[in-house]
Amino acid sequence: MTRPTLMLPTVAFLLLPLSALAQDLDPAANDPYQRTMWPLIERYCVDCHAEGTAEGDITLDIYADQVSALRDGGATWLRVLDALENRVMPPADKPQPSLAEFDAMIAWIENESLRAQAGGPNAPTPAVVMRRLNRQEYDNTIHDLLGLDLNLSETFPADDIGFGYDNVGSALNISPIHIEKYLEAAERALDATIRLPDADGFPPIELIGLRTYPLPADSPVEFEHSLKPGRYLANFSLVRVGIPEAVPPPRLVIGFGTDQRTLAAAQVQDETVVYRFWIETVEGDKLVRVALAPDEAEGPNVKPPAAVAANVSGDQRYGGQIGLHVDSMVVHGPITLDPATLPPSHSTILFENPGPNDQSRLAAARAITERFATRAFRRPLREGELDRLLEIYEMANEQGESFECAVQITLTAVLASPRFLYLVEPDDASAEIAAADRPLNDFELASRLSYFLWSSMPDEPLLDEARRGTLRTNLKAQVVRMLEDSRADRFIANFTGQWLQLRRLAAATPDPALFPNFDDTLRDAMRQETERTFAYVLRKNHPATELLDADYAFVNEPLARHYGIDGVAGDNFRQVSLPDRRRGGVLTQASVLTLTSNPNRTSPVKRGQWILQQILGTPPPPPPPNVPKLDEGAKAAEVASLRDRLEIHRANPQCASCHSQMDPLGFSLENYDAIGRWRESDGAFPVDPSGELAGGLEFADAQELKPLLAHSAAKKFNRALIRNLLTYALGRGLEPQDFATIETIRDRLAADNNRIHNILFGIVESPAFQNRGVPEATRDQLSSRITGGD
Amino acid sequence: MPNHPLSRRGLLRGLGAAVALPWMESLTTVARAAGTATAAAGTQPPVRICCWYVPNGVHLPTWFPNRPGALVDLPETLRPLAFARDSLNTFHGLTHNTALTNGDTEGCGHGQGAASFLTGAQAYKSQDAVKVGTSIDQLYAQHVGNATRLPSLELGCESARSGNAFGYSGTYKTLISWRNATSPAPYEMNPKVVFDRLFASRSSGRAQATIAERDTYRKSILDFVQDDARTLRGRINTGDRRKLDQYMTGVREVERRIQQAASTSAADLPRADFTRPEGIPEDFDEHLRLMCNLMVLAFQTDTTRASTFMVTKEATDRNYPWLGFTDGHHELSHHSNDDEKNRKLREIDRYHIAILGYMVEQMMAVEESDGSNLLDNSLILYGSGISDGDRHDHVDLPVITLGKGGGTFRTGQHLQCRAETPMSNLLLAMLQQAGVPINQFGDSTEPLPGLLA
Repeated sequence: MTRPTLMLPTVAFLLLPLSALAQDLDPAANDPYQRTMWPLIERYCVDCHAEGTAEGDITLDIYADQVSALRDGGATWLRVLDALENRVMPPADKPQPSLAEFDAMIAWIENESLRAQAGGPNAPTPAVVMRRLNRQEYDNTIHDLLGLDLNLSETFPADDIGFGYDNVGSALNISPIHIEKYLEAAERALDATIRLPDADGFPPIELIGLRTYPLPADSPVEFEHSLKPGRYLANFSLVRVGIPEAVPPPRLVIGFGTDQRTLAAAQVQDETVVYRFWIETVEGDKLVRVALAPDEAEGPNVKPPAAVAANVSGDQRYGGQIGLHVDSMVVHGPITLDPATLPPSHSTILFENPGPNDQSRLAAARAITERFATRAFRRPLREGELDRLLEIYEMANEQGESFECAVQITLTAVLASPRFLYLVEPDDASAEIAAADRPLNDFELASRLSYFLWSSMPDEPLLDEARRGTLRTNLKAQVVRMLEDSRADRFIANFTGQWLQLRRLAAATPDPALFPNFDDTLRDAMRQETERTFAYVLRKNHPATELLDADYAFVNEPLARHYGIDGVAGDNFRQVSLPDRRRGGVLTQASVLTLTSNPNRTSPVKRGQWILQQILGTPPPPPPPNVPKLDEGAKAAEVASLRDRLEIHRANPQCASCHSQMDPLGFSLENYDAIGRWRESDGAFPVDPSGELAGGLEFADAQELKPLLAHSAAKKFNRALIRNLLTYALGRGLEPQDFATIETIRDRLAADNNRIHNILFGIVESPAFQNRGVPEATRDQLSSRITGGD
Repeated sequence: MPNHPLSRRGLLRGLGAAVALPWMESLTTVARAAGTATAAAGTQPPVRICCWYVPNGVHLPTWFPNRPGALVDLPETLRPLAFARDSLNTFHGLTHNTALTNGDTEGCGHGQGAASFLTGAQAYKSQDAVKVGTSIDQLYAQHVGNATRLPSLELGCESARSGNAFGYSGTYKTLISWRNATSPAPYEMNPKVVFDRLFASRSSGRAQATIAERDTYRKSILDFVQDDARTLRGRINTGDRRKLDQYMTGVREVERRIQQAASTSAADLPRADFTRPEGIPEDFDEHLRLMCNLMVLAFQTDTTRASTFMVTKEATDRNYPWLGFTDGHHELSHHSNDDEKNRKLREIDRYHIAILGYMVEQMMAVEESDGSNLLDNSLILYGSGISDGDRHDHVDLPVITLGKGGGTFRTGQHLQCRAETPMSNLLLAMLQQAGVPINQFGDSTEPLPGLLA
């Protein structure tokens, strides 16, 4: 393997004696750009890329020295790097640099330009824009929080995608319809979690009969009851004579003995005020007690008769007797909630059973809400947060709701809060502090980890590490534990679904007339094979390059039949050893081959583009405008093979520069039809899968291409995989500052036989992952302050 | 086997008709009831704005009438609208210069075309931080939306997931409705969910509570979360604040809806006898038609006055097997002037137009309080942000309008516009005639002449 960093000293060594001599005369000798880069650029590039004649908007003769080359050339050097690595430039008909010269140029860009831009190890890392949970994360979090599989996000709008992933904070938006759905989903989630007491079907019991009692301001009305112990839903009517309807009804204290509640009215209709509430009786309770709440004695419901506007009562029973009257008390019950019939989620969330009084209920509500909100917000509650939440409980409690219902409403607010819906990493004090970077606290780090590897909230062991402050010490062990957990399947599905574009398989529509045996069972098996391949490499810590080329496959019977592999029965997947390399590795999996095909034929261009973009990380630019697309009608197919027709297309120089890269890759897969079956010919024409990669590497077919990619292109593949994983892990697009992180991880990977855990460890240990980061605007200010200084 | 989809189609279409009839009748009564409120206030029925988008351009030679003036013989593709010719306007010469990438060598035109279609603005090149402009439906919604329960309705028939393309966010290819330059309004594709939104009472999350009780608690929950957001806002950076502000705007909007629901007595709420859809129909044709029904229903009951309909996503490769071929729409749109491909493109274009006709027909059958019909009071805009799918250009866009906007719009004509007339001029004219007090929209130079009745 050629390592560019090894080449650089060689070049420097050759130049050294000369530069040592010239040192006093020529300052350029000390300038890495002038010494290393410029001579090569001058020889190979400036013919076409000089000021005034610059092709492709790349001008390379304008940088006087290292400083100007680094200051103005950031974007330019990235494109140059791309062109050099892909051997697109210099064009084939121009003088070609030697391999050592290629590597020297690449090394200068990587080490001097890109690493310099990354700003060294202490440079502030870019901040992640506050991420809202996407649909999968929402469902998973609800599942892990409540223990229920509810798929509530079904009705949410589709998530926005940024940089290829649907968990990128800066891309994810919220619109009013989201809020509507979040509120509804929160209600549904807690409806499913908590069983409310239900009085339906219990006959009404009237506790007062036809009597009524005037309710004085200073003493309660009492009457007897003979209710059995248990919970009751009560409807109580208070009649207000001579008090205008507009006067807000009074709050009352109503007790049935031990249990006593302070209540607000549920409804006012003319003179009647209705109170609806849940109340409990225990052995020995005998008296119903109705009184005005203490602070009502001076209120507008209780004024000297003269002061009240005369308003003759319509109800004859009161004979115009101005004031409050206890009118009727109807209860339904007794209702007992049998713990055995409660859903497990109920007893888990409502882990406290309060006694029959307001204090006990409030204490239980406090304990329940604290535990729930701590888990839902993924961190301990802050000062005042719990009290604010309990205000909601008290409001519902005063409305007479059952304990369960009042708690349910309180927890609904938790699930509608931005602290649940966003992964938020706020500062303790004012936003001024946000200008400086800081390490994440352990709870924030736990959430980053769990949303990376589980697409969900942290579990107890993670939160425990956070509470003890040991998470950073045990980070590797936690990562390994998390990968082994079945929740990591979500990461595997979400990541491969987007990196390898497996999600597009769901929308693939192979022409049923041409591919009658393609069905959803096969579609599902295809997806699973790719996920299982990734899961295997990931969990076994195998080399990442095994994803490109392997001597095994994961198949079940439908897929084995599809591949022509014998001896696999049943729907269960198993690992099989392969006799040849027609299969093995993602490139030759039916999933990828299908999602890169048209409904009625293969598309070597799409396949080539897919390999360039997803596997090698070097997406081709869009086709130039006004170029006729390949003629692929039935008539054309009779005249020439697809390959010949593409050759003609490629003769156009505008198209050639990209197609010369895409097409050989795509054609190597022509032995696989539009749903990934092996074939020797395409219609009347035998398949020719041979080709040559940029740089002169030849291959006879896909079986030879795969190991070629896994070795000679390992650097690009590894970098692409790291970039994809880092983007996904952070939930943001990568910036020049991230280059150092990527290269550090790549070195680590290469030094350990490409074993994939190195990438995950490298990511979670990087400052990019461990620090809150600094937002772009602030970084600009910082850097302008720095440059302003010199 | 190949015949199967066709026969199933026929069956479903038959069913659709059978279902539509009783529904139409009962709705007329509802509409009268809803209309009385506006009539009592001494005003005309409100103007409804409805914008449709189809991707990948169209086959242009059979789209434009060949001479300006009164519409006599409709061009082949538009023929399914012959019955509504008097309400139709066709245009030649409208251009969205804002759909050009203006020097950027990367953009492919699909996202740019859709993004500029209703905004007259240029998509900002970004994979994540999208920015374009407020769309006409949203401007209109902001103008009249407080009068209705839902300020606007956004519908679409394809999963809204769209990957980035050439440095531009996939959102540009997917969403045509923008609440402001940076907040796209996502669409709903499940007819059941749309139905539940229109008739909120049925979507109560909490089964036992009455709507009023639920709304009381919802209000205090929203109070709490707003408070929560406010506290949080002081402790996060500006980038995060932009996201949180979207949340807070959403909370306020939902609060407003709850308040409005409280001030509307139960008797005023529209009650549709329309059967609640069960979900997303497997059959695409049925899906499209259901969405049409729901838009008519929303307008008729005055639940909203602005809607957008993304028929399929820009650059979609969806195929239409019931038309007798399985080629993808996008693949076909790169036709290279191949006769066979052009024929198939025409079939797809005509099919989409026939679906539009299905909605228009229903709108004509809805009688409003003053004796006019719903179409008379509507402004429907239909078209694509790409002209020719093979060239990805945005000149001479295929755009038509239907409806008289409450009598303000002159219709039944083909307008030959000056070459490269900004399409924003048409958008501006529509907004002005719907009563929005503005003089400029997007890159407009003047309201498009020839439309005043």
